[in-house]
Amino acid sequence: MFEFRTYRPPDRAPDRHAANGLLLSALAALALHTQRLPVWLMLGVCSLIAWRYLLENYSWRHPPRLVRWCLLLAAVVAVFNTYGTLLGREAGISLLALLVGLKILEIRSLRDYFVSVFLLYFLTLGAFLFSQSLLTAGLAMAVAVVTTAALARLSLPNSLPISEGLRLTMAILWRAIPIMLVMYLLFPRIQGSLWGLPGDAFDARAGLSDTVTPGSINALSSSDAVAFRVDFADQMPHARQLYWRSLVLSRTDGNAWSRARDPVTVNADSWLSRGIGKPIDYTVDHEATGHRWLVAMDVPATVPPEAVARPGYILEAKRPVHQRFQYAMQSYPAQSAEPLTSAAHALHLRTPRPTSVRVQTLIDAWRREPDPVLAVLRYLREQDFGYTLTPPLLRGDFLDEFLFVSRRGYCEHYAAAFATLMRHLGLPSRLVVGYQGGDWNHAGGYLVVRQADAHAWVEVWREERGWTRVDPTAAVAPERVELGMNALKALLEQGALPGELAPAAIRALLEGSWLARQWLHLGMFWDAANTAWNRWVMAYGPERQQRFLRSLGFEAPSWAQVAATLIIGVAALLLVLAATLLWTRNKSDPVTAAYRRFCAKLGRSGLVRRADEGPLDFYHHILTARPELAADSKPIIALYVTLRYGNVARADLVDQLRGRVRRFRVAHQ
Amino acid sequence: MDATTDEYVLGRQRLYMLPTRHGLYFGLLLMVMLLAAVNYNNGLAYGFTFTLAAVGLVSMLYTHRNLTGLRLTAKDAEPVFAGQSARFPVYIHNATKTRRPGVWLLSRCSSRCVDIVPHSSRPLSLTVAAPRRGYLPCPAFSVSSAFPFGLLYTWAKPLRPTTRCLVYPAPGPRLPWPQNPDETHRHHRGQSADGDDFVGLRAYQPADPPRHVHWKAAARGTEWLTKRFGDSAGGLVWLDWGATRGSQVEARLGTLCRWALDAERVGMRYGLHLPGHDIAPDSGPRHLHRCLRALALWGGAGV
Repeated sequence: MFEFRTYRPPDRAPDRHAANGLLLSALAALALHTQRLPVWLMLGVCSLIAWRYLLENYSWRHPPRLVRWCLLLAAVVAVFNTYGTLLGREAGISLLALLVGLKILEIRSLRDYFVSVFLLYFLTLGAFLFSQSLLTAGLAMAVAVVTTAALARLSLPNSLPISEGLRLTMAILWRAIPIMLVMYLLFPRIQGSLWGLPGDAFDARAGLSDTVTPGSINALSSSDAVAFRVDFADQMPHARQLYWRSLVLSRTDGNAWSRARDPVTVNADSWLSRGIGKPIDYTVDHEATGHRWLVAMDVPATVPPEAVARPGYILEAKRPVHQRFQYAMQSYPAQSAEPLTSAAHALHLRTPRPTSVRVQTLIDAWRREPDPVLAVLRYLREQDFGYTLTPPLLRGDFLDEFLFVSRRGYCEHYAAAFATLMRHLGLPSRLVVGYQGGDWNHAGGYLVVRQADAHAWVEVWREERGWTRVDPTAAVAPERVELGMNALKALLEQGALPGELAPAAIRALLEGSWLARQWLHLGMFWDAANTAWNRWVMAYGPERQQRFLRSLGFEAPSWAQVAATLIIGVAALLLVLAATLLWTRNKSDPVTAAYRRFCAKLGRSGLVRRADEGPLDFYHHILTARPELAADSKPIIALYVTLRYGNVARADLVDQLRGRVRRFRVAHQ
Repeated sequence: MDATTDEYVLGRQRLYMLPTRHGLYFGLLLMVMLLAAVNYNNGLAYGFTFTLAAVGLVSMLYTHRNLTGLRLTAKDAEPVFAGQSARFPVYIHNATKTRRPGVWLLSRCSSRCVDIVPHSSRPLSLTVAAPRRGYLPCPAFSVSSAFPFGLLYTWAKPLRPTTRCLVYPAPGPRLPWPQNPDETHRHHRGQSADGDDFVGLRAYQPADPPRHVHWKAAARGTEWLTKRFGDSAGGLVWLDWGATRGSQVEARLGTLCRWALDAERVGMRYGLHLPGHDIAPDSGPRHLHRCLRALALWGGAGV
């Protein structure tokens, strides 16, 4: 008896207005990709859409099949020419955009319209492979709404006006959000990917590299890109403590510094026990880098589960950080000394070449000082060394050139020079690369560390204290450490000389205009919104999902348990929605409601309508049981019959019925 | 005549739902999007896929709601002559405050899409060919809707109303009046046979004026007929089964039907003689209907 094939609404090609809606959403989806697609492609797809518009509205001819095949071939060849491949993100999206244009051009049946809409959804999804920012999400959602509104208009033969289509889509979308959230949070996330990703799946990003040459960190000084954000469990430590270590570089050829060869995994259990001072708990929200190394505040005491410990208090992720991710950390202000093996001792004293005579003279003088470290720092402070964002290029012997000729440098110049000097002085030393400082975001209550905060400093081995941090940059430009990179940049822009300004003068210089401050605040709010977004969208992986599930009360959530919860949750939400949608219907029929009130009034006086009694039967019932009520009842019954069975819908009659029922009185017997 | 009205209220028990072909493609699209999200471990792609999936799920409720609570009434169709099309009235009442766009009324032979605004009724009809006299039952029909996105459709369990359409016999060709007492009666009253009103046809007699000859019939190659005109008021004619010629029942009933229509049109009083069924002479639409109904159902046709 289920003859559903017969009772499926017939397919009908949509009208011109619905088709125009589809063209509009195609343009919107294309606009999402403006930054990535080449100009020729954007123009090409737009002209295909324009062709369709003319075809639809000015009855142009449909292009013959041969023309369409030629266009498709041309599109494939052009994409291959541009990218050298048809695979991968960029080429794939380009091809998809062209396919959308061609499909739209050839639309004939309702099926073609649906295929176009589905391609548009896919094109929208493609935007997320490039950016997952809040802005992208907002724009993509707008495109999805327009596309879905176009879909609604396609499927109704009497095309809805666009405003109606949008209203309907928004109403449905609004109700869909809770269900979406349940699916989003509970759908089991897996680590890694199902199959190999194309080579260009992840962008190359500016960031630290594991080899430092003079100028390599300086290249980051203009980058506003966020490296990571930090949430402190308690108060933020003082700016002087905000040294974020990422890499330890022990090998040098006199110019470049790099990591010691075979990195070994160390047992980090002892880290915790060696901590000195009050522990600092914090959570790092690390941006994607494509590398393995992570940041930790000096000196880390724990290792997150996704990472391993390397010598030199270094954390390394188990797989390259292609996705923003979060990890909880604990650090101590200092660590007690650990013994240095003789091999490590030798490694950290190795210098590649003899120094020039004048450098050697300096070194010999410092060797006689009681504390050579302080002596060198004093030398840097007292001589006319300067801190600059645009250090001159050094040729030849770096140490000699820097100490006697240029005397201008960025952090890595000072750190590299200082570490080399220490080795010449017989003190084991190494370069530490990471970040220093960061900007406090008042709106979100967290610290933002940018690529521009990248920093290099030195650790010197002292017999009594172990590895000790020495930051030669601070000797030259204390503002770099005290105020942060942003402030220093602002000072340098205004022509101030680091290391020579009174704090009050600095504050006056940094105050800035009212507008600039407002802009700064706005920026903070935007960053705070983005951070919350990142936490729940981009960093929401298996690890965070486990944490979320534990917070829901799952002890050790199994895959099956989570799937069951997901299904139950979605079903429950659908039931609630169904109940609300149907409930509004039941209370909305004024005619039935008025008749029910009328029956209830009679019912209270003992004249109960039987379930099978129609209105006319009931009238006869009234007539025999309570003839004195017949006069008042008759018009009510007549109105009810007219409105209910007479196929008329007149608001004035409905009002009349309601009025009569309201005035209807039954004298109790 | 007893008019039947069948009423149906579309509730949960009566409504079914399935995805359309496009809905199945949509499901496939969601699967592919989910695979992409998993493979690229892309949070926003997950979010987007699940948004579309949730929209699909919620649209299910909207599809269902588009038909729930609608009241359908099917009524008897107005009688037609065999060979014409019967139009069975079906009203869709929307007593709710929700607009119901894209509601299809479907039957084997017709389909129609309507948009029903809140608190209104929509008169529609099912058109069915009525080839034979007798009662024609209303065809099974259903309402269906793919609102809002065309991804799912819901339909009501086919409704098989008891309403019907009375199909009169197809009127036969114009033939001479039956020879019956009326003729003499009229002549006795001395009335002219040459009034203004066309009253019928009789066999051609050589003395008839040429302008009264029914040339169209003559051109068709049948026998020659003469149109008769007269002041018809007050005439009486017996439409007698025995007066019809031929052996085919349907043709004879058609002739009687034609006579009854002609007699009613010229305002004569007429009675009907059928074997086993007589209707006393009278006139007026009700009488005509009685006669035609008797012709339609004679011999137990379609009852």
